[in-house]
Amino acid sequence: MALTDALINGLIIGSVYALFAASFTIIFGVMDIPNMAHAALFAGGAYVYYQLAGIMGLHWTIGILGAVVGIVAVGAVMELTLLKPLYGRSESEYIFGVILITLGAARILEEAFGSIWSRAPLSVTIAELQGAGKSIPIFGIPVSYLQVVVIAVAVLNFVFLYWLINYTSIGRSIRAVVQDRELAYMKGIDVDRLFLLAFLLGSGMIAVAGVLNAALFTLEPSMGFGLLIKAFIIVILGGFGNILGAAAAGFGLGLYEAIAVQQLESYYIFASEFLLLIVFFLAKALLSTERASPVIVQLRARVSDWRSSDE
Amino acid sequence: MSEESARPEDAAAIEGLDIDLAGVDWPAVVRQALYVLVPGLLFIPFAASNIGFIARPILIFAIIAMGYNIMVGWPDLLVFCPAAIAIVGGVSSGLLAQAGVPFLVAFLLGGVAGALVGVVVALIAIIIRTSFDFVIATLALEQLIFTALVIWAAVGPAGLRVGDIETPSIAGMALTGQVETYLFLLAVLIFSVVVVAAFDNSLLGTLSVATGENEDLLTSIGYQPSKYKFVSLVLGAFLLGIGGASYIHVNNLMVPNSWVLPQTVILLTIIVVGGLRTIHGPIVGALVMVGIPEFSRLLGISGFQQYLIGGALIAIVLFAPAGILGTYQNRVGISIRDKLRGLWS
Repeated sequence: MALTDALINGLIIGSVYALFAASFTIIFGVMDIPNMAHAALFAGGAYVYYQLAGIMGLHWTIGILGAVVGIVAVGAVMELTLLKPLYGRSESEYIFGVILITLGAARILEEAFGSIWSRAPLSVTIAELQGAGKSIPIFGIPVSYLQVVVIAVAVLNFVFLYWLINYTSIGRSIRAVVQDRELAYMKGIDVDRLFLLAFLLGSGMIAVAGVLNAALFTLEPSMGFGLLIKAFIIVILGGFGNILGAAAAGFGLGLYEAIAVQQLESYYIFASEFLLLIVFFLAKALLSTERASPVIVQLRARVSDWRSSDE
Repeated sequence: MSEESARPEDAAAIEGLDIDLAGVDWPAVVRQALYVLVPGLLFIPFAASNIGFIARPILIFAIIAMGYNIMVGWPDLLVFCPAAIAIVGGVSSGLLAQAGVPFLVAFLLGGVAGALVGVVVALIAIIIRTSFDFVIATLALEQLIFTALVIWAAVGPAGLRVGDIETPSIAGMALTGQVETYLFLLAVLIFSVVVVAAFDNSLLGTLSVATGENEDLLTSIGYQPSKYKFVSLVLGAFLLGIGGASYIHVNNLMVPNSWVLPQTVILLTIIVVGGLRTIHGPIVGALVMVGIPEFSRLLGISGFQQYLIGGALIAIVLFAPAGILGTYQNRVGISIRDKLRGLWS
């Protein structure tokens, strides 16, 4: 009983993680942009929906459409005015600049959402999917309609991305750019346009994810912050720019948390995830050097290098 | 080794060039400290006023950012856990003071505690050489430290409060009055400026810059980049720890929740706005990023600090990547690159 409970909870949480990470990895994989403003766009989508469907009382489809259009527009402005000027910079300046500028944009957006719609948690409803009795039992556990929709959207989202990347000409260009940006450019792919496209695609997807997340939980300006850090974990475990990897890692992380929460305090679960992230990077760095020797040999070599330089 | 023995004059040259504190242009270091000391002393008449109250956070954040700038600016490593280093320094110092350790000793041990975290960051930096991976690994380290502090019974989610038990005092002078606190913080800032200026002026600083500019070239001329990364990260973390200790002894309280990513972003903004790899950049940055919001709060205008942070980050990255002081110095023509060119030719 406890296990099925954990599995279903993990599936729901994993869907949210996977939805967030999918749009994050599109931008990240194609453009090498760890978009620190992704959480702000996520909340932004939900606020636009809240404005249209919640305050103005329009139909939920218009709300979702408006959220997508609004956030895609914000994404377009960000890409064209903030990120494009950085593309010509050297690699380390590029990463530095992109992180700082998206952090800056996130600050401005989150503050603006807070002052327009208040910082207090808001509740969001979608098409009467929530409420008493609106649930179906799965293995004896009640799952609300909304949760079923979230899981379905997450799965459909990955199917769509998989199709887009593997079976369309845009997808072929994306794969080319991920593999070798300069070679793709020489082959005549309009890299600038593809960057814009990837950013807009990611923005549109994150807007929908934001609406669903706000309906599942509550709507706050900083609601995506925790997810942003999770997205790093997911993208890294799933492989940079790897859509199916992100799906597997997203659901995997959700399941892990849902199972672990029955045994551990949540602080320890988060700590274990961050530790995993650090260990992963250390292992990756030690294993991926040119010398194909075991980690311990390399460590020893590094230590002896260190000592000899002191003498 | 055999190559070195074949050309002894090179080996001797490399040995002589190592840490070389004797080669530091100490008058220049003193001059850099005077740039801060003189205006700092001139401000004393105002230290007891409302404006003097604003000077406290500016000084504390300038001290913290001084250390952070050594970690980020010189070796060009985007360390993403300064807030965690600062709170480790602050909390350690506070706990030691509570346990009865004399104030100045506890204060310096806060720096040592920060430096210990710096050792961990340095080991991560030496192993992980991809800039993006390093950013995320240090971001994760910050979260890990936050979690550890929250779980730890001595600190916990409510944070560590030191003021109830001890009143910090140096040689009988208690740090309770506004002017005394100001003078103490000014002294710590001057100390930081001396450390940073001496570091910048020594070959150690120049070689740390070289690790960020071209690690392979540095290795090929016989230096060990890991060593200079280590020194700059640990030294920077020491000052960060000192800054954290200043914070807790002046404000009496440090809460883990306010020393996570948002605080790191503020510190990053301070050093980027002031100018990475400039000696006084963090002070300029703290004046702008902490001084402006605090000052306007006095005038009754508040709530725009986040816009200021966001706008400043965007404007600096797009239009003046060297920061306010860096842009000014580049115009004047003092450039570390020139120094490097002189070294290699």
